[in-house]
Amino acid sequence: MIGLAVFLCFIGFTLFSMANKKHFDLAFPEQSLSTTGKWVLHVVGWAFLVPALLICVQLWDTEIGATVWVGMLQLASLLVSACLTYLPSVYLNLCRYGLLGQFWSRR
Amino acid sequence: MTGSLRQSMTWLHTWSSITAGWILFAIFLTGTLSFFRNEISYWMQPELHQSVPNEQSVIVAYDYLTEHAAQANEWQISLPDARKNTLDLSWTTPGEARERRRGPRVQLDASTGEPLEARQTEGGNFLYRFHFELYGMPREVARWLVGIVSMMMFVGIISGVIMHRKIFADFFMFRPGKKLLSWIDGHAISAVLALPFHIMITFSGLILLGNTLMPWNGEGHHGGPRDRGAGGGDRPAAVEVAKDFDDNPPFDKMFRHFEQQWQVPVDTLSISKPGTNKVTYTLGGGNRTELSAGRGGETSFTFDGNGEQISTRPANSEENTAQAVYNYFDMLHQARFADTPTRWLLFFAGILGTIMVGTGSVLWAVKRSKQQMGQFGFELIRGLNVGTIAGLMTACGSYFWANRLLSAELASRSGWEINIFFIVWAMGIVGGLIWRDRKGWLVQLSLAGTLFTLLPILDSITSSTSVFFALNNADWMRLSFDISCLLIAAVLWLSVYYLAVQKKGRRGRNVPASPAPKRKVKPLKTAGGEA
Repeated sequence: MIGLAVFLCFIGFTLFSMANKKHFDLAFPEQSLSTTGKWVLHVVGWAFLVPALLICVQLWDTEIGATVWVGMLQLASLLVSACLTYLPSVYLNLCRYGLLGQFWSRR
Repeated sequence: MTGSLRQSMTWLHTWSSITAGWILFAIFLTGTLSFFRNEISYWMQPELHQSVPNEQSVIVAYDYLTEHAAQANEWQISLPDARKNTLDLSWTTPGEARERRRGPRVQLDASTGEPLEARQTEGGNFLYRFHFELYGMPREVARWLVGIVSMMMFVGIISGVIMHRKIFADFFMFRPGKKLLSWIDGHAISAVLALPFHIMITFSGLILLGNTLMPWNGEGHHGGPRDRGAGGGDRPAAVEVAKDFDDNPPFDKMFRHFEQQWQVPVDTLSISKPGTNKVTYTLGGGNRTELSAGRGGETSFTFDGNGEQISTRPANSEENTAQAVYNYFDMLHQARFADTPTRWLLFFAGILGTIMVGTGSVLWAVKRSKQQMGQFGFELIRGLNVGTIAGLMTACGSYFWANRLLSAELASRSGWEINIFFIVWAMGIVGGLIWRDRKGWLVQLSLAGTLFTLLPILDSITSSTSVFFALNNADWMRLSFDISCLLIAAVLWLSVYYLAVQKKGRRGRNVPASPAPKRKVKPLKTAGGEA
């Protein structure tokens, strides 16, 4: 369950990073990111973070759960950053084929 | 306007941080290690490594106490848990001299019941104490000093957030192999990604030092006179009482009841009036659900001699909001609530904090290396960087080595362990001031790397049981210490490798000045275009 929560946070932050123009352009050099697209990525990103919070609250109760969740967010954001830097192919494939990437690839 | 604000913040950030940087690095590193204070202390007492807890540990403790403390009117049993492998027993006997407030205590092997004599060491407590009281100076002075640098840290964090130009645009950005840019990225990423932790730990640290920084609050420590209970009279004189111990106390039934209710194992058991018909058993465990409840935020159950629950002592609750806030930060800072995964998360964030402080200090020097090379102030800071960052790593490694190499019978050996820590650190600082360049870093980092790489081997040789014994018995406290040493060593060797490659690059002109990381971004970019 803990691993799942961290994974959800990781996906959430990957979506956030996709909403960043620099990383988006890397994955989809021929597309441009609209404001709506940015919002969609953010909302869907949060849609992954919230279940992670619920898992933490389930496991540790509200006060401690929320604290642990913040710790997980920190870990997940670093994982995204490390993936982006040292495993760019994994990151780009995740963006293009794993998450909402199909939406931009098909255009 | 923004420009000038940003400029002034940059100035504040730079100078507030560089002056406190080294002491902050030491505080962050030792403080982060203190999250695993118990585990470090356990590793540093190899005499305890033979203790393997099992289901029968509570019976072992009970048998020992019936034999050795039959006349006591209360027994306290601290059972093995995720952070402890031994049985810690203490008891109070009527008529004991009053100055022995805590009564006798003993540490037992959790499976055989044999008393264990651990070597004299400060263990993880030294690192813990050092991170807020430093060493060898009056406590109040040290606390003031730590308070002041914590405040500078807080100033550094806030000004850092304001001066950061692209906090969101560069949120995930790390560009290795680009000299100054990489240092800036490393500093920013370790700061921004764990910002909640940095703010929490600095702010809560200041709150914990509140009594030092604001001593005029009109009350004693923690709002109450400290001499409560003084002059309470002597304990009743010892009277030998005939005791009739239950051969088969209902531990199973009580433990099952508690553990079903809370889903956590029982870790403390106190037995009041043992051997009489008024015996009661009080069970406690890590069942805290609220941080704001503070210490005593756990609920315990009391059972009678037949194992029927007779009362519940509910968790404390905060007296008022201010107390709740204090408790919340106290708990968070000291990780008193944390189970193993949470503790690792905090440790990980602490490492990021340590990296943030370290990279900040190095960044200061890298940024000015072209203009100020040779100037006294610059060279001093450059030298101190080597001595505090690499030197402290070597000092920590030496502290663990000293723990195993100093004879267990040596008089004041715990003092000597600490002396060695400081001697090595002082040598690191002197060495750093003499060799301030790459060579200084290379030598000291390699030294620290060697110490940490060999620690698991040293552990296996000098402990009463080998590492394989720990592996067989799933002694994760000891194993994770050894594995962490190897991880630290790997990071140190990686730094050595990068430094060495850079050096080579500088000598041979055709080789790039820094190792070109294997980034496959470009080909993928075209692939992405085709997709």
